[in-house]
Amino acid sequence: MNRRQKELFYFFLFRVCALTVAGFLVILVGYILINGIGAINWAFLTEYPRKNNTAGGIFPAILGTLYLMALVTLIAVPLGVFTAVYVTEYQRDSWWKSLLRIVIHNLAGVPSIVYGLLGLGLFVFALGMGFGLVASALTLSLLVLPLIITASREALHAVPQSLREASFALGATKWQTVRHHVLPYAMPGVLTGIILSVSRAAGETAPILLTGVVYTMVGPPRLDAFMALPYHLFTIATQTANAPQQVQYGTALVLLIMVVGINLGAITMRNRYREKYKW
Amino acid sequence: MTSRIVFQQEMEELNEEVTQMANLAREAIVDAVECIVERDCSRRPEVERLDREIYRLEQVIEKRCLDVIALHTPVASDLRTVSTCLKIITDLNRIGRYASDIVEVYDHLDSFSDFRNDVNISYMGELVVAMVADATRSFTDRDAELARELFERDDEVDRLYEVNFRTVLTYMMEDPRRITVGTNWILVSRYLERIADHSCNIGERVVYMVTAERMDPKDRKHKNGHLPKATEAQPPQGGYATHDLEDK
Amino acid sequence: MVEMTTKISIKDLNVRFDNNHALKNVSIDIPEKEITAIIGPSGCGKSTFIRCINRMNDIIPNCRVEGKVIVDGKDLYDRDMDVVEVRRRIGMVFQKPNPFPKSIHENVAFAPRLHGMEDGVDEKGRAKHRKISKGELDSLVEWSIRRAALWDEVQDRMKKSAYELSGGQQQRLCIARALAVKPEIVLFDEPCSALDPIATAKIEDLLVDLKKDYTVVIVTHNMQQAARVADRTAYFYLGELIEFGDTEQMFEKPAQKLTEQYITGRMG
Repeated sequence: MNRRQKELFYFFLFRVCALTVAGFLVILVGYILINGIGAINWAFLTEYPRKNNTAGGIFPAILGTLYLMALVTLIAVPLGVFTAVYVTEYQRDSWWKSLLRIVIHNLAGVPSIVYGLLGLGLFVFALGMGFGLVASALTLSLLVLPLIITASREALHAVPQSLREASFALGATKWQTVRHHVLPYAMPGVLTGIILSVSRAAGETAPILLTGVVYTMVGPPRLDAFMALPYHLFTIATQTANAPQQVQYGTALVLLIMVVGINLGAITMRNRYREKYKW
Repeated sequence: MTSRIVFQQEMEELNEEVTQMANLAREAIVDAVECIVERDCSRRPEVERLDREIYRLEQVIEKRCLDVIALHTPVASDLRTVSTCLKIITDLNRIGRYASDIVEVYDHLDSFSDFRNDVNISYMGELVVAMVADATRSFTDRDAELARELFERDDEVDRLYEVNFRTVLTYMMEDPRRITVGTNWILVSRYLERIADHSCNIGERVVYMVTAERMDPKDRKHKNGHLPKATEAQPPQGGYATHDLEDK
Repeated sequence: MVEMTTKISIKDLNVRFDNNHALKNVSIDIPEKEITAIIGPSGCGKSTFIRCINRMNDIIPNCRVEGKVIVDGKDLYDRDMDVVEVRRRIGMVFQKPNPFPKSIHENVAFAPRLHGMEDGVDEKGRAKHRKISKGELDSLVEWSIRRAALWDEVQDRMKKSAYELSGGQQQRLCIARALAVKPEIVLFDEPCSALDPIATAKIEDLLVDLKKDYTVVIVTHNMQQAARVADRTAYFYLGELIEFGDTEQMFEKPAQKLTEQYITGRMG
């Protein structure tokens, strides 16, 4: 095969791969969309489940997932971002940094069920929080912390040292430099990490399984009992008899839309930051 | 800064050209003095040719100096060398002119026989030729000591000029028919004395080129030549020279 | 040039990076309200030296500085010296223009807003500061940009991003930014090396204008620039100060042979 033919061949190969991946995505979304769209109506979204989750709405599950996402954002984002800031801007010892890098990489690879067990043992029992939103949110936060820290570190590293030096040379302290320059310029990268993390947290089942999610509720989520979309989907698809297929797909569709919706919102915010600090 | 190699080549060629010009000037003087003393002016056209060549060289060298300054921005020793070249070519050109002026006078010096000053002119001529040769050598060898010695020798030439002047004056007063010859004889003495002065100028520039010392105008005597300033180097003014690396 | 008040007196400055002894026993007195140039081949320690003056080397982790840098009678490396105040009084302009990716106005306004206006002294004799008003800030920004010879070119686009300016304009913006906090000394680390000849000429003119009010120290690898602009020149080689003197003197007859070798290009 001559050079030109090889070029064409590989290009064709890559294109096939890309189309396959895109194809899967389209099939996934399309399948869910087609099968689930029929179930979506106002009642579905705002009512409580009835008849053992086979009828009624999924309102508490939606709310529960939203609450979880909010709590995880509140806990993991400051924790993760400030850790990243500390490591990048303040900590100069190399042994500390290497240790942290290893720890974070390993944490990222821990299976989510293990996090669930950790949450159970540490938050629910050892710290006496009991089952519920707080323990679940904390467990999910631990899960996504490595993601946030890594993304934030990369973003902070990408800010050129010359900008920091310019700020120092004007008499700014390290914190003033971070607050007015480094962090704002790194925002796009940091926000990307946050988006990914919160989406991930919204979709996890195993950690919340062991720390507090409940099968069904007739009222709104409480501190000690809540529903969540991923778990709800799992139960009506596998544990519930007679759950209409349309309802199952409908639930999946709602989850999908929620995650995509929040992603889009955060991406818009990120783009706004990019425009503001073009460099 | 343009290429170092090109710059070095330019400086070498500059050196060669100035040396060549100086040699021509010396040759011209040797021929001119011989003409007067031996009364054999067969070399007159040669002297005139040399004078023209010297003039041409002055133009060529001046252009080269300005090119070096514009293109290579020389500093420190290089700058002093270039500025010295620029100035001594003027002196060398004058020496060439005087040589040519001396052979012109020859036509008017027919009745020598009873003139007793030939001895002095011959001796004066020897001194002046040696001074021109040594001025040239001090430039090519970068020898500041040799350059400084020129000033004392100039005193001797000045003295001889004074003597010649008085003698010829007396001679002319004795017999008015000798005035033409006598005046021309004084002119020749004067030319030789001026050539010695120009050699001293060259020496002064060479001292500057090598040591960066400039002559103190206060010490410049008008009639009897110049005295150089003290030989120890002046400390730089205003800033301070720091520790010598050798001291460590 | 006989009359000379010393603004910065440096004594026995030694700087080490791990095992690399970058600056060796440097002692020099930098005169007030003059331009002092630091020249020397690459790696001779010029940048390291100038960064010691405003303690920018403190940022580098494995850098050890010994010696004294005395300004107005106080050693900048003293224990109770506030490094933030040091850097406010001694400004720096870097080799590659590094304006903040914000508006032109904001670039210059950042530092004065941070420090505030001087408002008397506290019981320890240190300056106190109060918040700067918007009007004061705007006029300070305009003053700084005018002083940096940039006002005519940017006055109608103060809210635009600084990155839209040309390289030379960005560098002048960085100068304006440094001037806005009213320093006494301004340090320039090869400010023109990234600029074209016309931009360079504008900045050189600006430097000569600045020396009326500020003490200027400029590191440059361009000897002609030092010759054009500086009153005094210091030559560094392999971490040591070889010679320091009047620029005219140094370029006509340097006292040290090493200096002569460098400036006539016969080194290496």
